[in-house]
Amino acid sequence: MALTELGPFADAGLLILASLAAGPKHGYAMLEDIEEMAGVRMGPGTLYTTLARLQQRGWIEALPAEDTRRPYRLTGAGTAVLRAQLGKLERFTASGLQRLGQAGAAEGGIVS
Amino acid sequence: MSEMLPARLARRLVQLYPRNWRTHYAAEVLDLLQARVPTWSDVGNLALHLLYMHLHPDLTLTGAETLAERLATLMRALRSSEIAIFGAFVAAVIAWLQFGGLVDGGPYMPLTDSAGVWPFFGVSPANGVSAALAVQSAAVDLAFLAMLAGGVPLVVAAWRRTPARRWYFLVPLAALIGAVLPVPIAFVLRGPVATINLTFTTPVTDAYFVWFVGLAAVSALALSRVIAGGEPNGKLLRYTFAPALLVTLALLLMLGATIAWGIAAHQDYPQLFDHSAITLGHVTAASWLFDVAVMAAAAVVAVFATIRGAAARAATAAR
Repeated sequence: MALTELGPFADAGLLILASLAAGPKHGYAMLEDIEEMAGVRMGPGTLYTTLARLQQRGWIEALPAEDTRRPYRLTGAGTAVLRAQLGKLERFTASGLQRLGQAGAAEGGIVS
Repeated sequence: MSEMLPARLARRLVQLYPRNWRTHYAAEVLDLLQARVPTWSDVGNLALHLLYMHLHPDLTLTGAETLAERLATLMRALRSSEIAIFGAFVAAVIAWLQFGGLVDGGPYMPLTDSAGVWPFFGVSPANGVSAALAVQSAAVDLAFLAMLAGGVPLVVAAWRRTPARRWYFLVPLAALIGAVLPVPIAFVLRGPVATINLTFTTPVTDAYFVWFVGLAAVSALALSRVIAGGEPNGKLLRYTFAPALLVTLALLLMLGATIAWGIAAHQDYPQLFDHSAITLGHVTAASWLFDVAVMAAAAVVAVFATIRGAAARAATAAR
């Protein structure tokens, strides 16, 4: 079970899972939250294609609709996938920052 | 006005998504489009995913379906893809018959010479026109054989599985009689066929061509309806996808050869090809372009249906 199973929808899937980590949301609330959290304006086609794929895999589930708005929430499997992906990203970020720091120090050494 | 157009287009696009997807998500998306005024970027995003959804019928499943429902949905997608390829084949063959009408006839003989073009028979291609015609002819033969290999089992299965719809088979039979009958009638009214000038078209031959196209379309529709009836037979549909794929490849080859023929004819015989009259049966750049346009549309539909069918077939294998 990994986010890469979503193929071209992996990035959108990560954003949606991260948004739902704060609690159940309907489509519009997810788009607003994603834009605020990541600065990404996700299109409605991308959102609902990805929601379908996440539902297919049982990573999110739909709650009873409130009028025409249906909230979605993370499942246990979805939480595990999100946690694993964020862990990978954290290691990647730490490694990248460390390399940048080393490069900066080396560059400083050359200049001085 | 310009603010309203993206919103209208976006709502219209949502209605074009696959039915299964609409059942689950259309109301939510329409609500979303009310809450967040759609931009042109949103319209493009919806259009892109509309295409993607139709090409990947497995994406319309939400996970809430039973295994049997999933398989039935995918099999219906595979069946509709194969029927679409059949429709594309009929359209391309009609264009090819029209093309044959173009190149039939005395003054145009240089454009119709496809004899002895195969290098492996010891004769090199006479020119580009001949080679293109030979490739086109081979593509048509391949398409016919593949259509028979896939179509006959589907038709036989449809005959067995849907007795209530057997009367649909009378439609192509009646169409065949309708297509043949005008010939003896013309013989009685105008004398032996040999005396009729076949080189140039007349309003009568043009009308017959339109009549023929109508009969072919009605027959194709009737056969499609009877094949689409009843529950899909998964094993058979998985088999018939291979011939359907061959039909698509043959249609692409036919299109390429027809384009090549026009280019060669324009270069080698401009006095014959670049005719100014725009009529159905004459060799003109315009009528050639018409045939190419029909064949291209048929090829696009066939390619689209093949990708969709392949996705559905792969998804059934994965489940």
